[in-house]
Amino acid sequence: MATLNGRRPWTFYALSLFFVLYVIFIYGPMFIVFLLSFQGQTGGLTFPMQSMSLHWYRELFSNASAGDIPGAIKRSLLLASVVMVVTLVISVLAGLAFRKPFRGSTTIFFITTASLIVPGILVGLGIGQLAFLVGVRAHWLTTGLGAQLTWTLPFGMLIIFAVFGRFDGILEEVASDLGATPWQRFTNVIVPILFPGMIAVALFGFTLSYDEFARSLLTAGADNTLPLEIWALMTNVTTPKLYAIGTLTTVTSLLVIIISMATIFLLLRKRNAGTKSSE
Amino acid sequence: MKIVTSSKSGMSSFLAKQLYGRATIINRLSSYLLIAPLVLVMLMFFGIPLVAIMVVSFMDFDGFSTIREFTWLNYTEFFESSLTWKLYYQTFRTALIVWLICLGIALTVSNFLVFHVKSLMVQIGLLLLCTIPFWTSSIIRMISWLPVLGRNGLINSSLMSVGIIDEPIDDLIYSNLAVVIVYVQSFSLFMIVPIFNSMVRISPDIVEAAKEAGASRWQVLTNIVIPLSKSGIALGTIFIIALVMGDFFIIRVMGGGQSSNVAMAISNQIGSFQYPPAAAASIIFLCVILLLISAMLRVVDVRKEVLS
Amino acid sequence: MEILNTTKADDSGEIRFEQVSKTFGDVVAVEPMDLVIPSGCYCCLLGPSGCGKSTLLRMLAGHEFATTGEIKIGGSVVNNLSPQMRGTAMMFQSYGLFPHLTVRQNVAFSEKMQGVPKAERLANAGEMVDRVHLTEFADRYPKELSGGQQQRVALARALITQPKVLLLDEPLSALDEHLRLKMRSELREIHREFGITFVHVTHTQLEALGVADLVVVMDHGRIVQSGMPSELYSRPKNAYVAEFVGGHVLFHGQVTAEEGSNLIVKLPSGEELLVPKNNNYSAQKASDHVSFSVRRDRISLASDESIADKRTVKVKVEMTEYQGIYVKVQGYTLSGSEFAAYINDYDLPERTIKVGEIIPFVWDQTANHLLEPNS
Repeated sequence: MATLNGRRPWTFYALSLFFVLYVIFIYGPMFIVFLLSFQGQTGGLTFPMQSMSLHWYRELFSNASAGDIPGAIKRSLLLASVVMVVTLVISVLAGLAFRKPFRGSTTIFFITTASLIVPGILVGLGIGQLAFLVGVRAHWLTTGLGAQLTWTLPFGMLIIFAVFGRFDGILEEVASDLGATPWQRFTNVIVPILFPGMIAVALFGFTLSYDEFARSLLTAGADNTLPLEIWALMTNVTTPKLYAIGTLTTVTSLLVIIISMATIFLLLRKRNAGTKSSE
Repeated sequence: MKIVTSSKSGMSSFLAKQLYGRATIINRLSSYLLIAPLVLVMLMFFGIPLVAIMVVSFMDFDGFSTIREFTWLNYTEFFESSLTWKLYYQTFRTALIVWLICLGIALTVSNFLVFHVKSLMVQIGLLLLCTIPFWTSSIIRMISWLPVLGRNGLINSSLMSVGIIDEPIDDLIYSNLAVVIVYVQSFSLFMIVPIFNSMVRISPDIVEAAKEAGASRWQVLTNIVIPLSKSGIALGTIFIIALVMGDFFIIRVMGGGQSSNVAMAISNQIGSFQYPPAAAASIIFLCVILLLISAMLRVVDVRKEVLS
Repeated sequence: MEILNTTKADDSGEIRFEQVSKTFGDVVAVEPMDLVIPSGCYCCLLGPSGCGKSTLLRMLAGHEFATTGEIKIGGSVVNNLSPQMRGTAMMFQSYGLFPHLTVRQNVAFSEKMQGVPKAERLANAGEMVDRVHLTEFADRYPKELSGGQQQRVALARALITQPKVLLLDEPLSALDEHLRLKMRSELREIHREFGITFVHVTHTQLEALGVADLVVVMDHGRIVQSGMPSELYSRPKNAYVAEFVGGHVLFHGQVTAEEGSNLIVKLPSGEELLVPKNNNYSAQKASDHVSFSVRRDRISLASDESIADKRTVKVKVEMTEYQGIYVKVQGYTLSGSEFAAYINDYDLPERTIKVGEIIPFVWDQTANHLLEPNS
């Protein structure tokens, strides 16, 4: 929306300022936690910073620390990995299923997207009650896993649908014309082209699980995932150790995101618009 | 359907059909097979649990434990309690405030990205920049406001050092204000992405035509851009409603003792093992949310909006 | 005149449709038909959307099953064979190049499906890439190529399977005018070089006339006429073909008498024209209603001297359009039927034709071609 003489209208600067402020708003607290995690030994939860140290990180991993942070981290990582793989597989299968209309497809679609809307606490309550009614004990790798899947699967499905929507169906027919069996079509055409989307689904699956709280609260059973552990510690711990945990877990998430996004970007740059129709 | 073949090729024709997969029976079966995992998971961990809640909501409760006997009491007590109405009022009010703020932010940010940033790559890059905090733990995001809003936090310290106030403001943290701030930080993205999606699809020709017809920038915004972003706004609203009303822990931590909402009340009941009342409250809650959402759905065709 | 001078020495690429039809539920897409396409021929299936030409092509390709009948390639029945097994290869309208593979990898795809080792198949692909003059692009991705280059990749990818028949589904329809003409000649050249049967589907009549050895005109699932382009253009079988192929004026009238091997046909507005009889077709007696066509380029302006003793038709001019090679004069005869003629502009130097004028046109009556009724 540049003006005729090429200069930007004043609204551009106003809006950019707003945008910058917004970005500071959403990132700011993260950086503050990051900063404060290096709080000196005598420092408290807020500014000023007494000194810079790694004290609280060391505290985190020492045996004397309250709670079971390392255990929770291990559980969270394992659970997130499992959720990632399961979400990916089920989403891709669902995406393949939805390419042809079949009876009940709309119902399934709406139920799955409804799972996005229903508050996590209700899902957690439901699974907990079901377990109670049936006589099963809650455990993070069974009921916890299932609860998290109700949150990750809708995202995964929607992403796969979006990717399949852009998938040029003709490519499969081309492959068949060139002698590919259905399995070869899947591995040589569908999967490679879908791959960036699959990375996105894996990304969602991992990070949504890793940070998930509401659903896990009632379904994780006796052993806590990391968010649950943090929640439990929050009431007791009034030291910057909390910030150290926070920084660690945030950095993990960020690493996963950045690696995934970079991979997707590189893959897409190479091959955007390969057929005449998309010129 | 008669296919003329020579008798020799009977077997190979069957194989041929299997090999390049156009036998219709197998095709139809495969759809059901492929969708089975999703259906199983959603049924086991979503569908049936909701039914379980409904079942428990009709069970009796003696103050300590659940009794497997049918009763309407949970529902009648729910509607008779004045606390109920107060909680719903507060929940709606908070949701409305958060919605308004997020809407304003989303429209501004999306407008900026779509119409003021030149290249599509940069637009998407900046949008991704906004999404990254979403990937971090919600608990951590909550905690991170302590050093900012707290008694000794950044805002108080800087305001005092500049001389605007003499005493630290106690009510910045553990208040409705803090709750709203954290909500906006956590959920604004859910408003931005659908609205961005809608705006991006507005053909620049339409904007050009409006400007040529003499519309000012503001008029273009209110007459063209916002009406055409209706479905994005509706989709974002659906998310905000679900997320704000469904939250129970941000409000507990950041709200101090002052605030409460429906979800938090339910979580309290769960925490004290009052399962049947909690179940009844949950069912009602679910119905309310679904009602609101279906009202929103009249404005947007979810399947089309999401899948294109 | 032999039908085709580009047939292969052997019949390996001969295509035969014998009573082949295709129904989708209640809808008949292709009525039972017979067709022989000689080996090595360049055949165009021509017709408007929905006439069944694409369905026919897809049955030939193996992407649709024929409801009835036998399809034979090189003498063998191929109805139940996969595309690979029956020796056809298809070039799709949107090319369908795999965006995640380089040009070389795209061309090597079919051999990869067969399990040919990597080094060998990439080398073979490289050779084919050379043959279509794309050597410098072998390791680029499709998105980096122009439309014409992408088509050559699609061709190379299809031809490397050494098919007996190459199928082209509206290959030029999405190209702009300039590129279309260039690619048309490239297709002819590749056909000449590889010598296999081409079956090319199009709705553009000039394209079909320009590339094909054999043109098959279709309408509503039936073959209306098939033959060499010159045959279709000079002797269209019925009004449908004449109109679809273009370049003809159609007249409708009643037979009043016979004169040797000609019929005298009277138009509603009174003009009487001489139309040579057609031995294939019987309803040519007095008082029959007939239609006949004349090529537009055979028609001239009647100069004053010729009016008296020649058979002329008066036309009310609606529009004239200068087309360089000719001036197109368009209007309606006094009988009310549409009329257009291509007049050399050096026939017009002193007089320009004005819209609304009624002028006489004249032509050699042997150019009148009797049309069969549309069935």
